[in-house]
Amino acid sequence: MGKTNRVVVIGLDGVPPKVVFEKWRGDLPALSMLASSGLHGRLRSTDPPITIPAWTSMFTGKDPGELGCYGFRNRRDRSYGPLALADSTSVRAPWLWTILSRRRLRSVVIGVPQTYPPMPLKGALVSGFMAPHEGARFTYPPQLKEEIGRICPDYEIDVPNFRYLGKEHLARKVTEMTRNRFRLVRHFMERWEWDLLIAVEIGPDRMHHGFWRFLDPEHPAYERVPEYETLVKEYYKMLDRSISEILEILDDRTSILIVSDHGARPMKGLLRLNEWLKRKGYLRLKEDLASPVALHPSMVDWSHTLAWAEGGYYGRIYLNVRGREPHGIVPPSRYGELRGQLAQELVEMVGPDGSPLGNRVLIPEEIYRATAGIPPDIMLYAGDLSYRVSASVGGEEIFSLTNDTGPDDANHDIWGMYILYEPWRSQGFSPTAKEASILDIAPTILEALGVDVDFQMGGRLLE
Amino acid sequence: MSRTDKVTIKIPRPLYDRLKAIIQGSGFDSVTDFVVYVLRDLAASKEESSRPSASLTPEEIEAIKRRLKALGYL
Repeated sequence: MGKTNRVVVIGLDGVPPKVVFEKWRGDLPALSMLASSGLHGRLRSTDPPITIPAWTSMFTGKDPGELGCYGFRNRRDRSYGPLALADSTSVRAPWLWTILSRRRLRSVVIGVPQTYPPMPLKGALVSGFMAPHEGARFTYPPQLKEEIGRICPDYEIDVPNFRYLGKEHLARKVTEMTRNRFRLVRHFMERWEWDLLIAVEIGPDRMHHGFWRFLDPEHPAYERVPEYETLVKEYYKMLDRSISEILEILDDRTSILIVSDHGARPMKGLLRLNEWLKRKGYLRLKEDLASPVALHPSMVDWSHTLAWAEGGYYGRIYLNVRGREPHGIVPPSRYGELRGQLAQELVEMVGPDGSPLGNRVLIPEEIYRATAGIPPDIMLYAGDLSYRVSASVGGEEIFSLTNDTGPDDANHDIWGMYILYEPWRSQGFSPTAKEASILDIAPTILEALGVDVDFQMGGRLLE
Repeated sequence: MSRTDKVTIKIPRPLYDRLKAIIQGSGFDSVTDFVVYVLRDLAASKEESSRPSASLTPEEIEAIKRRLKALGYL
């Protein structure tokens, strides 16, 4: 990139390229200006395209396998015990700001998921999603919390209970949270010294989960409610104004990256994967259950169980392998064959209407550069991510039209977006969109700051 | 700076004597200045390591789980 003194990254959680580059382009003057005079396009998220690990991959340059982080909860060992939360101590690669700190460059980091507990750096850090609450020590240095209290007394890390708020209330809460975040960003921009400033706003994702079925005619429950569409549009316009206010503060030697970690797509329903595994003979329970309950290891007859699953935005299937899991029964010699057979059955699964569900199966060793920690044996995008996956067992249904974790309108899409704007070469980029990978962001930032990219990161430079 | 801004740390006499020899002609006026310089540098490099100082406490894990539940993730 050259010529850069500083880099600003504004992360917008869950913003799909279509919304910014097509649907509301005319209503978002700042983003449109940046996109049309900068490099921009779709940004391929991680597999899985989930807030954690996507942002961590973006700001370490490492894929989820290298990080050993396959979701916001991960198996801690080969036991059947509870999953471990993916906090910052589980991140196995240096963050960009750690690399910069070692070179005496200063970073300000606000709202990046998986940065709690906060880690020391040369600069300032305000933890994001998965910090327990605003009462916790969620900043580095710790006394920074008091400064935040003075600047933004109502600062919020996230919107609690976002799936259960009334629509207008949700929109109001998310808008307040986003305004406060940008107020803090402007404060840091003007009052602190920094070479890299990263701010991630979780608000767009919260809006999508609450409103997507009013935005996307392809949603099975699409309903045209102009007031709701307006609420989301107004939110996007507010985001655009906030970005425009930031542009006014910055000099023309600062590179600006606008990025999202994943996109959004309609959520058509829910696949109850453990119930499916049970009926296919892969999973056996000690006793049958009349109504759906979350699977607990104590319910499982492990001596007759070949595989079980964890749910969420995607499915993770683990085989119960002899010598590996505590009560494993799958002989290691049959592992490959059984995995292939199960993968084939998943691909052939039919949906509630009897037509193919369109499942996508991913094998960790095939898609990652490494598989640290405990990777799933099979990863499943149910209906190619149009269905969420539930780990519950019991009851009659394999599919459900609503989510098991509360009302939800959106699932995650593998395509996020990016804009790279460098004021001094505003005419130098081709205005046509160009695809990039989420792993390209970290090396691009380091290069812009004049730091050698020699950390074996997986991505390439945006140019 | 008041007296209470400083604390006394004791080091073995032989070490003190070795440090005194090291700083001769180095620009450091005293062993104390040298020790403070070395410790500051060490502390700074430790603070910039990538690992956070502490993991989650059981109370924090419960608070995060409550939050995730409220957010609809769990």
